[in-house]
Amino acid sequence: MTTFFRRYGLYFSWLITCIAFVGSLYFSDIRHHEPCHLCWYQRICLFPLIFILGIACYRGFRGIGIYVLPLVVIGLLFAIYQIAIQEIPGWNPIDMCGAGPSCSERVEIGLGFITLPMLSALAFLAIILLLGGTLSADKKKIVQRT
Amino acid sequence: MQRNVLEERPPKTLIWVTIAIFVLIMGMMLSLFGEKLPEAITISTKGQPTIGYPKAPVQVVVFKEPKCINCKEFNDNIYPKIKEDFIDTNKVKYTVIPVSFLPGSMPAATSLLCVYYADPLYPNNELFFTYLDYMYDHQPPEHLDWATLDKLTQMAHSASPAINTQKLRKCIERETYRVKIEQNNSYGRKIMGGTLSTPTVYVNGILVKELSYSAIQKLINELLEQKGVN
Repeated sequence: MTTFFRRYGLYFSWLITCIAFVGSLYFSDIRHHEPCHLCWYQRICLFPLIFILGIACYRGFRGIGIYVLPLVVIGLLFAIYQIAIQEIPGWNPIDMCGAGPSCSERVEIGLGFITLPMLSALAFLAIILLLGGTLSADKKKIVQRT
Repeated sequence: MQRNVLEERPPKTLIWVTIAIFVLIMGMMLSLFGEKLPEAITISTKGQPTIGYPKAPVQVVVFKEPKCINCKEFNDNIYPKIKEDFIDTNKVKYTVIPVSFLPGSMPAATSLLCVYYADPLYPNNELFFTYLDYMYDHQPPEHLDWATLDKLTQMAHSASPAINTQKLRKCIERETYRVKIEQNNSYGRKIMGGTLSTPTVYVNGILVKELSYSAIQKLINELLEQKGVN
């Protein structure tokens, strides 16, 4: 397991980022679901990772996790918050949506009960687990060496 | 130890292959961007006042209420640009479906149809739009109960000498076209999913969500491009 994370942790977190990026653009520009403000905040947390994780993965810099975790955790929080305002009717404590498309409206995407913020949360969660796994695997190795 | 170093990172070919696939998918997606237009509905405009080239490839349909302020705004600021850029160049035909739901606007709405159907066999599109434009140009504030017989005939008279004010007066009094307006109301309500609001603009059956000239212009141009005009 440690070997897997050391070797592929960054790669899979980067791969998930790429898939999420493509998916995000697919739903906004091909399926024409106008992204709401919360969606944009999640995108802000996700899009830079394409380059950061890609380059780190290529160079085998596993320490990158600690740099990008804040970004990913904040993205996850935005996603969870959006799931909450979509699933709990009438609950919308902070209006972050301003003018523009509604954040609390559930958009049908043809995947049953699964909504866009759920996909986003899933991606962020997977990235967090992979990066966390990579970091701890790296730590173990260092401990072993000393 | 040597083995471990080799295991430290994924094979570079894997990364390059991933990048290649990613770029390929993005490239394929770019060609699909912006192609699909929102869903269109079918709007029956038979017998509704229309100007422009009858065979124009794009039709703009606007639901209008004579007393509504935003309809005036639309008529003052957006309609002239549509007319200049698209109607006068035979690219768009333009239909107005008059409705009435504001208090006291029914006489104004029926008067529009009175002018339109002055000769019931040959509805006069030009005159309808001349009168409608004049009415919006000189629209009193919404809270006033301005749509009186005198005011309407006076407006019609100033709008065009071609309008027979005597006949118009009778037509408004008898509420000849009240039923027609009510039909328009229920038709509009049906199309809009229950609530009638004005101005509501459809371009080839596609609802214009953002009422600005640039949004309408963009939509018309996309449709023209689809039809191979331009």
